[in-house]
Amino acid sequence: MNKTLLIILSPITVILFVVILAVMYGWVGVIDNGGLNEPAEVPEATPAAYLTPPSGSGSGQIQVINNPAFSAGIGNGQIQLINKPAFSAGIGNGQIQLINKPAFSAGIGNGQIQLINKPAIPAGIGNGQIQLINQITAPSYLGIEPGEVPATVARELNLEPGIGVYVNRVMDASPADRAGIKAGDILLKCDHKRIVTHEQVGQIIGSKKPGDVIKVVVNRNGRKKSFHVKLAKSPQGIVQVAALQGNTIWMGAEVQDVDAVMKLQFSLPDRRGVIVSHVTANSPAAASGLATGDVIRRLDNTRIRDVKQFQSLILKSQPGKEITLTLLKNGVPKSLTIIPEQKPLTPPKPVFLDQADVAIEGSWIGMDVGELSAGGASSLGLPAGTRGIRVTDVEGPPATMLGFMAGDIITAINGEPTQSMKQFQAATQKQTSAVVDVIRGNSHLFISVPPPGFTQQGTKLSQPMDNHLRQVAAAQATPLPFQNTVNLPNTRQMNGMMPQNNIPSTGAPSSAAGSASRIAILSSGPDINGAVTGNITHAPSLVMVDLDRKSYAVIPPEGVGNIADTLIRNEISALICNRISQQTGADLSSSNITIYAGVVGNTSTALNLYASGCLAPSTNNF
Amino acid sequence: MKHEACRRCAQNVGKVNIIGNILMVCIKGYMGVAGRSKGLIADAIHSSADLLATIVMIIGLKISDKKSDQKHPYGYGKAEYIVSTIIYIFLFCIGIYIIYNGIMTIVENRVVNPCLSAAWGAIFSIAINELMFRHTICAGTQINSPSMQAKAWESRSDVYSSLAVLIGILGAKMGFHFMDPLAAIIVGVIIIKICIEMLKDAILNLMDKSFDEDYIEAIANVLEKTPSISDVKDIIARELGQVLEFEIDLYVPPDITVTTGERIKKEVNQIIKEIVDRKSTVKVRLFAAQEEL
Repeated sequence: MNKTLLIILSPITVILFVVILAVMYGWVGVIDNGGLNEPAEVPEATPAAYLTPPSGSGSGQIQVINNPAFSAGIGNGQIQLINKPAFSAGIGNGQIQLINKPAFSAGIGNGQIQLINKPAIPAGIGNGQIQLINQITAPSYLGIEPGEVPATVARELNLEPGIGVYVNRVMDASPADRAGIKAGDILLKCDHKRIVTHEQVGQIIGSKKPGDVIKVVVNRNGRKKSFHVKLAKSPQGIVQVAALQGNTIWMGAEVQDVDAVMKLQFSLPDRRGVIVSHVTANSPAAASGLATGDVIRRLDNTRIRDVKQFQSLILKSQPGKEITLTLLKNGVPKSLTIIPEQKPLTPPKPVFLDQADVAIEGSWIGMDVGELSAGGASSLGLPAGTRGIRVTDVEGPPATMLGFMAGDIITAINGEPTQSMKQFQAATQKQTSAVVDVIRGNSHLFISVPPPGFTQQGTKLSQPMDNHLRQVAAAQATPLPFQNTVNLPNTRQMNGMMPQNNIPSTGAPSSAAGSASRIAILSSGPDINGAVTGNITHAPSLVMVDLDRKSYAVIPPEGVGNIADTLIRNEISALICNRISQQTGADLSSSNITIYAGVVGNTSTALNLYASGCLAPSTNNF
Repeated sequence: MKHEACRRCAQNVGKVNIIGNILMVCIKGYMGVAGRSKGLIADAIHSSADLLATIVMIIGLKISDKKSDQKHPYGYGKAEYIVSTIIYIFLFCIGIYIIYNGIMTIVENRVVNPCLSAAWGAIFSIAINELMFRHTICAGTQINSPSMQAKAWESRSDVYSSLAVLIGILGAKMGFHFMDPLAAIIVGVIIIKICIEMLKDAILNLMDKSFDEDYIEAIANVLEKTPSISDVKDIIARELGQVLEFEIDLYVPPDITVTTGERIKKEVNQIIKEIVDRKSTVKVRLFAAQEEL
């Protein structure tokens, strides 16, 4: 009996073996050219977040520490959000630290991300800049920037929701790039494991050694493709976040994804492409004739699917080399040629925002809105004559979800201008879904408001929302009582508003700076509560105050750069500070900026002193 | 036969062959996968084909041992051919796949970069096959068995295929990346050739193909010279697995007794056993020779 069994089993065993060998035979040699031949070189100081093993989700712990004197994190898979620790150290494996202003900080460990902001003793890190310290020694590097799969793409490709990781970007000369993975691919499998979240990708890559070859399966335009990627050593050292924006290509147009509401409202045939939301004046885009509302469908014959893909394509182009855009202009296909330029190096002027003249006039989809006064537009730095409805506060859903922000100006709904509250009311009540024209800061954008009970992508929600204008309380703002003493309430920092009572409205500076409507203060803090400081010992924040409009803006230390240049660019006529370097003083004096040096104390106190004319300008010593 | 030990040696040929082939399949398979060589994996599949041939032969022997029963009065001899048909059709598909994949690898310019360990696998295979060839050919000559000699030459052809694989691996190591898949394609062709031969054999035997004419002629010659037999009327032979079945019609003098006839049958059996050297069943029919006609 045993012998017969052996006789039957032996050929079956051999056949199985042959099958296994045949499968192996197929696997051997699917490695792409780039995978094995050239030694994978580590790109030096390549920008952006490398795929590193982020926190382990399993036993992960999350710490949010505020103002600890001493904080240290040791462990596996943990996230630390530390604000202003005097001393902070992180030792561990796969941990994320977001440390804000530590006096001293050190990070030892394997596969950790530290975002340390403004350390006093930065341990070999450049001063006063946000740093992304990448101290990965062993873990390997794939070179993609993962993200969630956009709903439009998932719908287009008929993907199961929640499966896969979208490749936002592929780093140049990275293993992924060499293997042929492209931005816009959807990672389905990595090392034979199904991918659901991008943390998983990090874990898989992190568990591999540089030089290991892993199989990556992606969905590209609905087709499955597989790649063998030979992992490289992750780039070491410091990667500056500033370099993240290091692309030099500039088109001067901003684009948004087309969602279901926009498709409906602009009567587009489908949701392919990206819609132009803002065109900067005097930019290559403006010169070529690109206008707000155009839908870009193709870029050099490549079909545009979403903003991320579009951006990655734009980033690949060269300044001066023309690109052809195929677009729908008012529903008519058209093609344009744009020659992108080098990005202008001057940073845009910060927007001065002041407090609303009107507190609340109405409430729509979870935000308080008010009419923009005639003079309001100019005070906001908008083109004269801009009329619209101003968002004074965003309180709850759906507005919070849709992306409205306080300070937005709604100029039109579904193309109907909303210059007055009446028009706004009419527009909001007429329609349930809407594309809202919003002016935010220096830029214009579209925000889609889906019909009640739906998301922007057209998916039905379980709970319906109320989009109609709920209440109209024509509550005119009452001027707040004048207060001489400085008692600053905790202002919202998001829009940099400054309460009206902080600066005496009548207190035009009587002394030398009679004409100075904009002054600047060197401050130690990120708001108007910081102490007046100088620029000798460390880099200060620059608080710029517009006295006429009673508003202020803060430039963080890393954005200040050359103080004199910044002040001139922002038309600042006076600077209040403690002690500044001789060089800065000389620069400022030569550009006719009055210096009030030697001021000690709170920024807002100094401001009030200045406004009431109690400060005397420094005349010499520089 | 030079030495007495040669007989034992010849008896061991089968065992050595099986063990050698199993070893080679395992080692070449492992080395091929670990060393990322298409050629060596294909060669491992080639060795598996050889191993399967031996296994099929053993199965055939076991089946032929099984006595015929009422439902199968002619025995189970043909089961071997069915098994081998199935196995070789499968191997044929594998061979096609090997060739197709190899060609695609070359056409798509994918890089197969084998490791040197794969080369060691090929060298090992060459060595074992050569040793097996020497062993089998020696034993085959000594015991004067043409079938064993034929088997030896099969081992020799395995040596050549492994040599091709070794050249492919070394070529790929030198930078000619197409050479490893090319070696795999060559091995694939060899596998297909084996499969076609075996399939042809199995199917023709299922159709009751006549046994080798040379043997039949030789038998006829010997029988004609036998004094007790007047003439040979007809000899039919077919293979039933490992068993040969002869149907022999003989003319004998009409006046012999039945006992003499039985003796003649025994004699014929003896003669056939001497000539074909295989398990065989012989059916002899005796006819009266009519000299005058």
